[in-house]
Amino acid sequence: MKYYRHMIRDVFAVCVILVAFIVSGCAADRVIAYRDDIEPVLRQKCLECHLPPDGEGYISTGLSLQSYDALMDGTMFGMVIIPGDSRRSVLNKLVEHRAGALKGMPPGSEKALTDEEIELFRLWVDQGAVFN
Amino acid sequence: MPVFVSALLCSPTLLAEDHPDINSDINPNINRYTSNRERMPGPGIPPPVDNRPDISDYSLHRERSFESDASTPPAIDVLDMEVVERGGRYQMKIVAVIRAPAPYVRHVLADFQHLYRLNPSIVESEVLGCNKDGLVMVRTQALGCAAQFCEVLERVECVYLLRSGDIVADIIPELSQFRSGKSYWWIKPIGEHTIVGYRSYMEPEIVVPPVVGKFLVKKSIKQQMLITFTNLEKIARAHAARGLPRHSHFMDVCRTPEDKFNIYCVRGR
Repeated sequence: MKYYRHMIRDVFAVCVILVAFIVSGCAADRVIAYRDDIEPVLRQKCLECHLPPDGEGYISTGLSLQSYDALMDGTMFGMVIIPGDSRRSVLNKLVEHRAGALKGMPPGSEKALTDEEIELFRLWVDQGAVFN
Repeated sequence: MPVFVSALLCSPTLLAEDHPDINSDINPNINRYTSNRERMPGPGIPPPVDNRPDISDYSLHRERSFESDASTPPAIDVLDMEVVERGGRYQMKIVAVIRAPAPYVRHVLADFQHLYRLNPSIVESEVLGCNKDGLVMVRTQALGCAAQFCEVLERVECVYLLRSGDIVADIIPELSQFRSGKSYWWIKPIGEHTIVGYRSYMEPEIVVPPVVGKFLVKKSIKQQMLITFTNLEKIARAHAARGLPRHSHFMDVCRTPEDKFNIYCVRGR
């Protein structure tokens, strides 16, 4: 009897772990949509400075965030997104403050991205940074 | 962390197996440039433009970076390139012609706030301190890959901006994943172009499988040097086209040096 109780407990534990894996796997597989997830954040927190022709960020780097194509064109110094590779993409480096505190984007704390928004950017770039 | 473990954590899309053969880009005929020196127009370096630039025209001709477009061969003219490994110590050298005036090239190399632009593999960078003598303490994390195996290596360096315009960087082993390392950049103007040389040795604390592993690491280092020089030219040309920004030099935003800066860079000098 005691043996069966142990076995039931072990099976239950395995089931819980499996469900947790499945749930976390589904969450990781969520497809990030540029139009629904990325563009609203860019418009709300970045576009003011990266709007041609007078935006400060546009003047200093040439990065326009008016459209997906403009974002993918990058700055006059190079592209800001390497599709599939958020670790090496400049956009992710800057919003994650990996290029020093002074170079974090957006500058200042008023429009700082939330952790969720930073994660959205990371997932979107890792998923190929497609226009969807 | 052994490379095999870290490989599981890294993106498989990193390395440029599909980049063109590096060796074919080496041009040993350095005399071609020195002999042409007389024919090139004098110093001819345009003064920095103070007015706010109109970049709309430039942005129409924007080029994609070499890193992101592997099918494009590097545009830079490499005069010499070599990577040698002895007992875990890598010695590397590259000399190339950068088609941009020397002041702009020097500005890019000393623009430690924007190191991430030089090479996408620099995944983290930070100026830890600096002083008005041209001494800077810089921390970087670079993603080094050999084939599909990747490793993030952190290093903290004391960088000295010499009066000649050359740059020397000493790795601080206590704060880095390197047992030792030193780099030297030299910059030589030739008319409106610049010959840039980079010579370095580094002893990373990584486990590299013998023979094939070392071959792959050396190949990767060559690719990264080419990427860096290609981006150096691209960024320097962008600055030359619009003038240097007024307030971007790191000295303008020099932070109060941390204790580490005084201990390792000032006293250790």
